Amino acid sequence: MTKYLEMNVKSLLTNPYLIFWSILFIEFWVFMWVFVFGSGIQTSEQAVRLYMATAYGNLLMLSLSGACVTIGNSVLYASKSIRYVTKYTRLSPSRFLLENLLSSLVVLLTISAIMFASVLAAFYSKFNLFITPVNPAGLAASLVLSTLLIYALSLFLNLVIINLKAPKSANFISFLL
Amino acid sequence: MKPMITSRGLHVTYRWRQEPVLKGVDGTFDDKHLILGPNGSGKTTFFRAICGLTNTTSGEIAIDGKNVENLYATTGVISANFQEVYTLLASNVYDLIMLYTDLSKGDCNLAFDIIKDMGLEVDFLKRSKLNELSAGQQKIVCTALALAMKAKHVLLDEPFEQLDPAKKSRMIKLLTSYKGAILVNTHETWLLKNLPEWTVFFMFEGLLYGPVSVKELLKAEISLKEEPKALLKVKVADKTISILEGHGAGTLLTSLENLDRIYELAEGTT
Repeated sequence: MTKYLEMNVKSLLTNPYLIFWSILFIEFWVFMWVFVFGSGIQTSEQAVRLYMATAYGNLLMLSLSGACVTIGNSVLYASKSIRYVTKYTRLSPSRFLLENLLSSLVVLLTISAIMFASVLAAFYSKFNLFITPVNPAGLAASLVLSTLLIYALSLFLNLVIINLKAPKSANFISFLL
Repeated sequence: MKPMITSRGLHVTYRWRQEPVLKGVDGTFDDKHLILGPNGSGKTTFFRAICGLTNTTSGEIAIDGKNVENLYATTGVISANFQEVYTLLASNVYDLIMLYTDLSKGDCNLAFDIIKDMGLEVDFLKRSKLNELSAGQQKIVCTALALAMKAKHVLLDEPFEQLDPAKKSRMIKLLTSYKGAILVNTHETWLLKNLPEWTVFFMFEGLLYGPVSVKELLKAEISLKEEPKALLKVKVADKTISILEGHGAGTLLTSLENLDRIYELAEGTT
């Protein structure tokens, strides 16, 4: 592995757009979901568990799509450079794709973990119930699969607009994601 | 085998049905060369084509005998000072230097030494992104990175632009002491007297002419007629201009300051 993997993780996790849209903005909706919309929920564990699963699933989808917009934009921003580095440095095209995928997965799974922790904490604070996943392995597998899917979709759409030389369509991709 | 870049019949057109920017560039580059030409003559496009940043319409570029289209993950061959080459990540300049010297197996300390020598502090680089620097600072960082990659061929696009005279002088020392082939794109003719051992290619309106040694050009004159004993005959604004050994009859090439003025000569506005 090259320094690209580590530096791409650092660059994405310190990206102000990603921090705002994928973490801070979604944290606001976690608060709204639990403390405002959740005020009429029955306090039985089953009801809270279902409500929490719905909250986590929906908010995580919004959060990951926001992060993928940032990841896609970073590929678009680097498109000229990618052409050069894959030709004249040791970052071959396949190595670039692999390291970009791995670094993006690290970022997306980190966001998933942050969202999980905050949803857990918010529900504990409101309902005084510490709700853990019934099937942790299933949750982990579905998180990996969903991050892979949204990453692949984002990368594919951005590569299409790079090949079509239509960078202005990046806004349309943000809308789609 | 001596490292070299060869270009054969290279054509580049940016948009369909538009006039080509490069109209059949032929040349072999194996040492330290200047490519002199006015703004808009195609010098930068030629470098971009060598780097793979621009698609070629026809023709071929080969580096050490290998077609650039087929080169992938080849370190130590080409480096360039284009800013867009160094936009792989939107990180601070310090991290970019560490990244690119790692990817190219270059020497990050050499890059920092050059940058410090040019008056920039490393702490400042840790706080700044490349696009936040001034044009002159960007040029210094990109040129330092290109040299620190220790490639066999370094392509420098206008490395003296936006530098003050002291920095220009330091940059000339860096280029002359570099162990490898260098191609420098410029429109400034004052450089000639500082690089007497180099050879020069001229580029006008998408065509490459030369090579001619700098020593021959130091006394060369420009004549607006087609001279039989000319060192070079170039086409500018549909006129043939001769660059010939100095006899006191024409305008000294080095007196032009930059080659943009050749159009004023050709059109008789000076």
